[in-house]
Amino acid sequence: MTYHPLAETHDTGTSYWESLGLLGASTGMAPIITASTTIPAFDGQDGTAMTISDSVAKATTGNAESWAGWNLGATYTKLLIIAYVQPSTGSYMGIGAKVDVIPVGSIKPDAYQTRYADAYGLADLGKYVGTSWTGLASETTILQDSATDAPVWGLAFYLDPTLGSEVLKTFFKAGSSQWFEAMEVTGDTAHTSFQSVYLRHDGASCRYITPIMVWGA
Amino acid sequence: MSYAPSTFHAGTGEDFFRKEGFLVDGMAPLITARYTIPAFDDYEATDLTITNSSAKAGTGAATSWSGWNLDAAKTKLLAIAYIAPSTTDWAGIGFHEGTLPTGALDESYQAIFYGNQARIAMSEYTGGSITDIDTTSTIYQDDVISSPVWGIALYVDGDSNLQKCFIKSGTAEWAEVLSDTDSDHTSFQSFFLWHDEASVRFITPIMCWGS
Repeated sequence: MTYHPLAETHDTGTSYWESLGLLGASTGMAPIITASTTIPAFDGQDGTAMTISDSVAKATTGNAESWAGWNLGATYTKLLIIAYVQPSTGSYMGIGAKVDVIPVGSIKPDAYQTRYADAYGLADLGKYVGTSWTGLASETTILQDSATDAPVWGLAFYLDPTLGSEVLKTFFKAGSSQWFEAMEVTGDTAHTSFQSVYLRHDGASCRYITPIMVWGA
Repeated sequence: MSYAPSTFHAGTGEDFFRKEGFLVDGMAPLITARYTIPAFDDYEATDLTITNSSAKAGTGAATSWSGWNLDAAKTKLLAIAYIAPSTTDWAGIGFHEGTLPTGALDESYQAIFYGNQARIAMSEYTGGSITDIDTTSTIYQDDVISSPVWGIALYVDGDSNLQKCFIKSGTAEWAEVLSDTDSDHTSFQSFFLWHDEASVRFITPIMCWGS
């Protein structure tokens, strides 16, 4: 497993995830996407276009249901995804993992997803089964504002829905404190393996900012 | 004295507090919550619920504290914690003269974000009555669910009658915002997190050093 220099582990949360047993040698989790300073080209996207400039992937001004994502190159049963987000005036920004490879068109069939959604007054965690959305958890006591002057927050999604583990967790990072768990779902096994991950947004000049990391096993 | 790895200093401010002379040789780490908050020794009103790196209050509005007893009486203490206010009126940290009390605080210093009053304050309890010893309304943490997490630090030196409050907003350095020279309390046996619920979260790093 490759580690970032110590100075960066506080932002990626590597040491924190290891302390929780979500990363580390015993977990088998290895880095799949490592956007430490530059975001790699997307394998596909849909909706409002997102353009990468080094450490930033910025949406254009349109306002449409959108995603941009990467294929993982293999099938994984356990993933940890982190990204930093600045919504500008977007309604929501999230991250997700999809059962199949990156599609042409809608991301919806068969995925787990978590997001900040200030326009709806919550952050949430849920799933697409087919194209139908089911919310599995929501958080209304803390969430990132949808505003041009909102500070950048971190968002992390841990997925281990394999029978016997059956856990999904969302973590927030809002400033220079540690990452902290905001939502947990146990017992959902609708999807048990993943071939792609994606950034979920609705345009409106929102930005995803490094570090963006994906670990998997 | 033990120091955490360098990756952690950005959050704890160890480097800053050492350079500024507030964290000195002889001050030992007493509470070290890097990734997981240790169980509280006691609480008043409503306890915080710990989930690894966060301790979250309930949805009520009761004046509450959760805290830890120190291993002995200390005259010089530095503590830090990070706070996500949600809609709480106020939240902060403090040192109590005795071990954690039965019921309300009665002899203590505390540093508080008063989001509902648009200010930050240091205050003291003497005989169960609270009095501000310094306050500022030129910078404060807002009390809304979208407020970013801020750090708050309290330094007390009973030998020199000195109290200081520092804050950390974003990735800037810790900044001193309040200072006083009160002499009512000179030694302390416990450290507490103080709030009035409303889903406030205390988040690691939470640290306390003392001698």
